[in-house]
Amino acid sequence: MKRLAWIQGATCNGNAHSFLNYPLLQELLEALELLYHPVLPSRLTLPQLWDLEELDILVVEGGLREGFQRAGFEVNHLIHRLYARANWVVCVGSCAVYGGLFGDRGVAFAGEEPTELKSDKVINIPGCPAHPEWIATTLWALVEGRPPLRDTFLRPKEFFAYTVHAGCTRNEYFEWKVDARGFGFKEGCLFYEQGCQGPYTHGSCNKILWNQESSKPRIGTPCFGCTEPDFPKENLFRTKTYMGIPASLPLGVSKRAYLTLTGVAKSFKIQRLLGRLFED
Amino acid sequence: MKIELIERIEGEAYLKWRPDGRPFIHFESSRGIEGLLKGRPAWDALVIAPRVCGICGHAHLAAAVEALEEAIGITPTPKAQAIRQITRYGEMVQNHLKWFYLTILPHFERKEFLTIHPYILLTTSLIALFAGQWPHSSYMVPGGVTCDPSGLDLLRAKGYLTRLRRGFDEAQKALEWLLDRLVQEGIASLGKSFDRFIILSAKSKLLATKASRIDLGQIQLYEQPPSRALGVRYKGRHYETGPLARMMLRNHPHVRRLHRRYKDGLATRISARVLEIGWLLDRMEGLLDGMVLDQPSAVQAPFQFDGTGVGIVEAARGSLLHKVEVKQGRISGYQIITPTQWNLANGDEEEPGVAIEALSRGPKELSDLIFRSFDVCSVCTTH
Repeated sequence: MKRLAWIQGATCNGNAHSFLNYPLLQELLEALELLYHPVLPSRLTLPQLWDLEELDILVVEGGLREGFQRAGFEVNHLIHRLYARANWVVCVGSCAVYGGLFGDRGVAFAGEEPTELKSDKVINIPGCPAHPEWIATTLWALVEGRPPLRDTFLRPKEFFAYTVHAGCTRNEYFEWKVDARGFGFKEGCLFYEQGCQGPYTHGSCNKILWNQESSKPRIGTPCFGCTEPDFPKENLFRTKTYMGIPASLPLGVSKRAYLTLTGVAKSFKIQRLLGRLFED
Repeated sequence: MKIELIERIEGEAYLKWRPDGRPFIHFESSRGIEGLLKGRPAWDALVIAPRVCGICGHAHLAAAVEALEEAIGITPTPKAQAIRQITRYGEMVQNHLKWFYLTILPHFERKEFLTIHPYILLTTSLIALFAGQWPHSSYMVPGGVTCDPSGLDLLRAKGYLTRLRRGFDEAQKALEWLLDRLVQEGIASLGKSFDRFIILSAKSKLLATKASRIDLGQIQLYEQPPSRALGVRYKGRHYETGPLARMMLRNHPHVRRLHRRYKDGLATRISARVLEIGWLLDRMEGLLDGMVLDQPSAVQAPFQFDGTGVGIVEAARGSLLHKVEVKQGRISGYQIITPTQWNLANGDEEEPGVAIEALSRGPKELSDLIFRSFDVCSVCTTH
């Protein structure tokens, strides 16, 4: 059985708890030997990890910060030590991947810059937190000996080749450029005014739903771009615009293409999309 | 000095025993989230503040939004308030289940977290129905909530609640078993402290039964080096916050009965947290039934404003306070006081903290269990 240890740098524990939301947790735990997890019962204590000779999968949650102590160790030293001994290093959450919200360093990247630890054995699963299915399915893949294909930030393409926009229930409003009238409506797209970063954020939040139920944009909260190296930007509930045009455009779409399509789409004024869904 | 490392309390803490037998609780690191908020646009607090904690981030969101609303001078619609309460209560339910099955029962060789796991999933699905996701939603905004639930969404939520009651039945059975065990081992009334409680959201403090008003201006934070966490007291004294405090204030008959016998000992403190699940499920159902959907989900609120505000909510582990100062739409000051800062404050020889008092009374062999009975949150304490 593959031996796994889950260790933490500077973190809020959000990924440890997100992982607990995985519906097939029992089956996954039966397929692994859990040496250490910060919440789940496991075989070793944190101080015992220092002398761990070999392990298959090291999971890292939280950012690397100079001098950050845990159980009497400087966490950076423990991470470096176990990194060298592990066959795979899975970084979960944007703090471990890029440094994240607290302004630390990630394992293989500091923001967008690769660190000395960037190597083929790293798999990055960003998100604040990372989605339980993204974490667990990646671990399954390693248990099965089928490491996932990765993009330039070492993120599994299976989850991060999509944008958060894909699968959003508000897509019709995006197509026809109908914006939400404010917060608290099931109608309208949040890209134009409310700051939604879904069209240029890598992730599958609207393809693999959260808690088997929903996603932020579906319930009217903008996507904050939490899987990207520049999370969190400023003014997360407002769209930055230049002369009325969103400053950041959908991934891979040129300004010219965007303007042309917007002009055409807006000119139609689709009545069905302008009113409230449940009113006559 | 004898030192114990206590793990899996949403991080770790050290319990150090001084030569004179008094314990000291030490946290090694802190993250500095208050500093991170300074200078940011005010609304960004709704995304940053929940990241204090992966298990009670929703309570931090609620405290942040209430602080901003006070600073703006805006009140959310009753519908928005009800929805917020439902998801906050949901977060408390999953917390209490996890604490009981991951922290308390394993101490008595019952390692059965996976039997309760499906109910934890259901709780987070119920939250996500309104909040989009758990953990780390930011669906509460000044003036209301971003969601716009339909009547069928409410029915779906009620279905989840009905199923969750079975989870509570399971937990209650395990609690009955545990109470017998505590009595058999003669440890039911160990872990007692001052029998003195504080509930900031109700603005009251309790000395066993007498309630009296509190003045928020009398809350004092203090440093306790070498620990990186601040302690907190009220008018120079320490108070216990959390489910035991709340269930005493609510006059919950079962908890009151246990309290008469065991005071604020292990049996009462543990039971209060488990039994609060039932109280929460009842309230959630009432809130769903009473919800008037044709009210707006949100009153539209400004991004540019000046003001100060305080948000106080009951988090799973007790009273949580956020205080914000905004100048021209940007945060110029932010302060967070978390429940564990109340319960785990060290104090000094004359006025020891709540958990310190309980640990001092001993016995030392049970200090790990007594410590964990407070449902300690390391990440909150070291925000």
